[in-house]
Amino acid sequence: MTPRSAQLIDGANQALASAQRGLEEQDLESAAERACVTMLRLAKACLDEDGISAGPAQAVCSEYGQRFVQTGLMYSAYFRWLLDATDLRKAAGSDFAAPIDYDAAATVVERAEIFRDATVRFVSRSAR
Amino acid sequence: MIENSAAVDLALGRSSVRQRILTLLIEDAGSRLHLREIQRRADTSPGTASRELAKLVAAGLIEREAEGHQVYFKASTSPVATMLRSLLLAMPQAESGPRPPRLARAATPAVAAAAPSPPAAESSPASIEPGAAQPARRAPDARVAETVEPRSARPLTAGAAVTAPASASISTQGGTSVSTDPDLLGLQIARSLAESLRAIYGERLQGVYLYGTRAAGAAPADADVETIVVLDHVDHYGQELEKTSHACASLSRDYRILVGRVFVSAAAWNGDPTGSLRQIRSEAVAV
Repeated sequence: MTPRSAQLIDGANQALASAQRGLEEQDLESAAERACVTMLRLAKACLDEDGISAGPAQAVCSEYGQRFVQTGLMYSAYFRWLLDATDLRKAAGSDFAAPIDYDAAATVVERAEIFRDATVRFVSRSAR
Repeated sequence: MIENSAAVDLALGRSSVRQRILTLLIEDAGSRLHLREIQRRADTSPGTASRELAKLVAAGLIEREAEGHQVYFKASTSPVATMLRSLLLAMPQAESGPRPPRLARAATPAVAAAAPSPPAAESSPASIEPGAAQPARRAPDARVAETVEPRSARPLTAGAAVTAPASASISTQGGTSVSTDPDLLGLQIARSLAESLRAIYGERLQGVYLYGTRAAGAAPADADVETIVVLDHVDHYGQELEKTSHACASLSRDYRILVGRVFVSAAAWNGDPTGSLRQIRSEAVAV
């Protein structure tokens, strides 16, 4: 595991904890936003392991899809989850989208947890 | 000069498809070609052809002309294009090495959305498998609306091919191009998404709109395709995301451009706009 990816996974864990708190406190917008940040940081960690440094969220999603999902290293569902999380974050932060519901926020937080576990397994495996 | 330099960089860049397209058009300066013909002769996919054409138009190297619903492309007569013509014709043909692998096309969005499969069935066994976080799914509405009559200040005629409004125009001045029309590739992708959404939602779908950078016209090649999906009502945002997840992911994979959607209720869209909705509604393009 590279120092950078370890740092990103730490940051993802913090964001995930914040997302879980947001969910408990019914702060759905915050929960969705933090869950999305969790997944983006994890995707960045995977990319960093591959020697790729991607900046904006769109570049992270795109590179992640091409390098890990297209190649079969990760399940294609993760790419969908990443895109759905970014769209949910966009909706949560907008003043024109329909309001997000509890299930939407809870789902993305739960997915972020799974995404975290899969990323840690992947990074640990690639470190061997 | 900066613009000219950027145009040269673009033309002589690493994309062999772009060079083939440019060569096609400048070898026979004066003639104009339709997208499909360019795609066929350049031996590439419609998406790639559209993307490269958009870059070349934005750089002022080629021009786009719309006639009714048809869009044609021809070499620009600008000084920088003329210079490039002589330069490119003096160069050896672009390398024709093996192409990078193309992403496997997923099930068509309508089918994928109509019959969602668990994540484990979506990828190879060697993959890191996801857990069981799947929201409760409701069977999507299988009804297909014959027509969707969206409401927009900037209506466009829907069509299978990449088309532009009859008023499409690109103004070219001194090597820089300013497009005032929606981005062609963005429109094409948004239309593909709209087709899938019609199959998923049927009469619930009130409209699909392209907004953001690609609706404004001069979009960077990797700009997201941002859409607004207007539904009769949006009670459970997560369910709508889930129903459309496969369609957006498939298009994002196929075009290598992120395709996003925001759900808006018909009441909010058609009501008195407040906040950023006022601006978005005035700029959004119906697809």
